[in-house]
Amino acid sequence: MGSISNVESLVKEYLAMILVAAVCLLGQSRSNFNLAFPLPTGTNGYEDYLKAADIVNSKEFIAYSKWQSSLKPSEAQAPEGFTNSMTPLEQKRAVVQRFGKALQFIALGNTKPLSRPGSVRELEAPAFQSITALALDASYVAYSKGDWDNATSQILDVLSLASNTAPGGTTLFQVGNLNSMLATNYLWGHKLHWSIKDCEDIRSRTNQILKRQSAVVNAVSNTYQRDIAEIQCVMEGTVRPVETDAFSKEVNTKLTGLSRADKAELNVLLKQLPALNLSRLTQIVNDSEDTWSKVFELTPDATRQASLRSMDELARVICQRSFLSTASFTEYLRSRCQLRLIGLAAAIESYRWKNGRLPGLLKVAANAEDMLDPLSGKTFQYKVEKDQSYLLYSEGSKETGPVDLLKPKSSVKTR
Amino acid sequence: MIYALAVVLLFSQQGESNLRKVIPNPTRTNGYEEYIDAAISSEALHSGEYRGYYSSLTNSNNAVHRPEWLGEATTALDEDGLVQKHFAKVLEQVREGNRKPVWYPNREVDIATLFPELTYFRTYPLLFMRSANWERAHGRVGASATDLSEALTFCIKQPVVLRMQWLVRRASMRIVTNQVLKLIPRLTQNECSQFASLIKLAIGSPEVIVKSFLNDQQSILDSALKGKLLDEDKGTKEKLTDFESQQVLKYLTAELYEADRPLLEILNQPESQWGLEIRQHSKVLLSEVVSNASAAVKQFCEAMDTNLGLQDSSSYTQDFPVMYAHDRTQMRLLALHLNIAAYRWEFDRLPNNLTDAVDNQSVIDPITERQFVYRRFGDKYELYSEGFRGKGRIDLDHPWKSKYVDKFEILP
Repeated sequence: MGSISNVESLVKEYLAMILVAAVCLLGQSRSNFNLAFPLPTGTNGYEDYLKAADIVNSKEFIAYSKWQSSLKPSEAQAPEGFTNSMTPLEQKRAVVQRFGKALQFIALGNTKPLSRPGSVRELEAPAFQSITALALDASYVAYSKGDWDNATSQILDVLSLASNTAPGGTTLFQVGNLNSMLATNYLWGHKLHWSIKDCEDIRSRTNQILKRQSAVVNAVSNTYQRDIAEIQCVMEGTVRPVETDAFSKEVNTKLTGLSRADKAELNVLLKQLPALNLSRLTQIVNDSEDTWSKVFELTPDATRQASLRSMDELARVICQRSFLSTASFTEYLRSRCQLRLIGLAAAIESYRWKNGRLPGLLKVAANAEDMLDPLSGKTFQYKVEKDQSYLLYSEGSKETGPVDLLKPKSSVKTR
Repeated sequence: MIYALAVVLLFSQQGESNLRKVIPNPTRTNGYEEYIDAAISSEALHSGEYRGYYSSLTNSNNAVHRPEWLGEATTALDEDGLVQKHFAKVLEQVREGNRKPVWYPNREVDIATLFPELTYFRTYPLLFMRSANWERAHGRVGASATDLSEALTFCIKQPVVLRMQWLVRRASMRIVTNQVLKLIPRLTQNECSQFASLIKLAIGSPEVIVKSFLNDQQSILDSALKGKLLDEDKGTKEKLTDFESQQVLKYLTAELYEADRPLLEILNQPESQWGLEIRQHSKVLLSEVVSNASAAVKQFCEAMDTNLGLQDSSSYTQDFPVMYAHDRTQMRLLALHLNIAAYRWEFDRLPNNLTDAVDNQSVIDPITERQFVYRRFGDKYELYSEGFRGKGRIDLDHPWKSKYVDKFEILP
């Protein structure tokens, strides 16, 4: 936890998302909602999610985000309704007042069955990132005025959003993990503002999310389906390929120049290899969570440069690109660990309310099952400090390192 | 000490009849009447002796004094809920009193006057705090804030006529402010600002305590003039003639005056001077006052010294201004901590300087006449007063654990 490589991997993923956002804004319809659901039914929660995405994809919200992230914004850059002299809390109040409707859509979507159109590219992913940032602002405003229940439920709603959308594809999966980590980090920072009911809600919601182990399989499966369909279109020349780097350009050049026989061979391989990978992935995640590190054996070796000489090599490269990166799966393990930690923190805070002090031992506040940390294979670490604060963390695995509820820049040993 | 004697009287004299005597003819315009009503309700609600009642409010695990109505509670929070329910009427009566102007009833006060209400007054803040905790635990932050605010308001509104009342008010204030300090991380922005204002208001002026000291003297002298002090002295009254009584009174006046004069003088100085060593008062020599007095007068005066603690009064006054300044500084620091917390909500970070969070006047420490020391270390900070030279700094890291506090602890 807190190593430079973690920060680097997070930065890389953020950059990747910004790239996707740029593609989304420049090349696509501004309305994800209309794009994905031309005939909405009102019964699918994903429709509400995309209505929320439309709000944060609006020109006004983008102008606000740009202005807010600017280091030295000029007064002229301030979007309507905002001024540079506003305090951060005033800004948050204003943005929530103006765009808070998006959060209502998320809350509504969470109450309905969800179905995402599988063939659609994951263009809504960056919007979900913005929605999470908006929810943090809304929650902050609510906490500042003592509206604890609402403040906590805003964050629990984005945790559900992250979990519900993660199976949509590997980009949504990555964004979901990042959003989940942001939300749990934020919740931890406000643990003294949880009521007993909030503690119960946090425990119940995190338990629900943790039970959905198939998210990772679905994410990979959906990505395979979509990417392979696109590869086939590229081979047929019906779709212009997206080239993000020199290697993808090389792959696409190869794809467009294949003979009929090579295409047939590649098509067969692109059915077999993903099926094999998915089967192995399903097997692993259906097994006990403390053995999930086996997934790393399936993840691509980024240092290995494929030669692309044979169809087998080409198929493997395509499958690897659609599979999870090592960093992505590491973040997944970390985010699940953080969900467990925040659930435990809720148990501890509930105990603190009831007894007026912290539990001396974790087992006094939590049950044996919750205390077990699949990541490290040991129990979670808990230590009460002299100032009545406490350390709560996982020793982690070889890949993740120790995990706590702080942001990546922090270390386990400090608060 | 004279206050020890008064406190013994305070806690030994209870009963509804005594409480009713405080305001025999209520006008319903003075909040003190509601406070007395609340005391009467409290007395009716607690079962058993007072110590058990108080203990149930302060120490949940006290098996000896645990009242029956707490029987079903399994956690401290459950007890908070039961306290709130059990004493709902008391809380409402105090709230009603807080809404009115409050003054001490027009009542003749002397050394023999009983203050049965003070026994219960010191429990009101505890009741409000337990109620506040119950509400906050269940996310009802507004109700919790109101309870804490009522507790602070009650402390501020308690009238101080005699020093004993000031001591009781101070004890109540310490209980509430200590709780507010602990709660700071849980408070909303509005609560931080609201409580900071109330606490600044509670610091008040030293004039109140100076007046209460003078009133104390006056009440002792009045009592002596009425013969009440003499009555208490093992029947010596019968042995003293009128002339001898006047000699005793002369001695008492001089003694009291000499004991308190340096203290009153120093409290009239700016607070930065309160740390100076108080000039040892010149002990009135018994022989000078009663050089020609009879053995009965000498015996009486010696008894007065012993019983009323006049011989000890110099040690009391020596430390008092520093202790009092220490109290006031801790209140100022608490108000500053609250202002910093309010700033933190607004800007999502700590202020770089204290003046970013509070007005220019509030950052000045009256003891040093310089700014309070504020240092920021990332998302942590330290804040303290450098204190009087050679007497150590004053902070809130270990609130109310100062060496000055225990010495003046008068409550069980």
